[in-house]
Amino acid sequence: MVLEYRSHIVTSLIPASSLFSLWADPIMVMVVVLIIRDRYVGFCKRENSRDSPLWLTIAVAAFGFLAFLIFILASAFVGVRNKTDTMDFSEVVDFEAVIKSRFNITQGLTNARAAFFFIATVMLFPFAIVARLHVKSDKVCSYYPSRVGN
Amino acid sequence: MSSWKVVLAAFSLLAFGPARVAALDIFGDNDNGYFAPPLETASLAVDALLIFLTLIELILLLSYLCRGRAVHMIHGVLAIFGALFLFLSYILFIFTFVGYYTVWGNENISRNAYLGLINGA
Repeated sequence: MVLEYRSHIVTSLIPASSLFSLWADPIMVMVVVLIIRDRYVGFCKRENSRDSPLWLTIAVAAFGFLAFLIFILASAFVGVRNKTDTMDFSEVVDFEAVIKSRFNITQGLTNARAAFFFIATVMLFPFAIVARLHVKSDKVCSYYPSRVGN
Repeated sequence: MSSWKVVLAAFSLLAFGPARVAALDIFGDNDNGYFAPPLETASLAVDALLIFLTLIELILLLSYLCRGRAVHMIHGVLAIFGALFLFLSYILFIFTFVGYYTVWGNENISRNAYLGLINGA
């Protein structure tokens, strides 16, 4: 017996809707990080303007790794939930155990994604502070005095 | 109290706040002694946080349309893609939400309420 409790249209719409909303999260993380990185590279006074400091490369790589993990967790979440929606329960003995285990997996993936968001946010504070302290053109949060008239 | 203790207290409130709120008997009418499970309440809080996060993301990504500095241009393209993703997800979720309460094609088959509750979470 196959339980077709959802129509084909809704079953195919849920993963598309979820993936579009969840893939925007790592994009936003990388947008914010790359803005801060390019402001540092563009406005900081260095001896060779082509050089990017090592700590900046490591920090951006760490943020990129976090964004990649968020992307992987979101895709796994959508995949597991879609598999639950389209599962064949004909051979299942303990129906409630299967549903509960699937629910635990999806909830664990959601909590892990939220935890990585929290880690990325906490990592962003020192990154932004250190980057902006070295930018000469900033009027706030800078060691250097701002110019008169601009 | 030093500043790092304040920060630690704030983070612990963030971590254990939902469980404590769930255990409080605010209106004083809890005669059956049942309280919501703390982990369940925390999971609900996490889900709500991630749902409301998309609205903040949308505002932040759309703000790149209004930035005039040339440094922001190539990142603005990336931000526009993110905003398009969010718009598409909102548009598709309308049809998904209609589909939750609509049966197309198989009107003779009644839906299982338990399955809908679990998969909707």
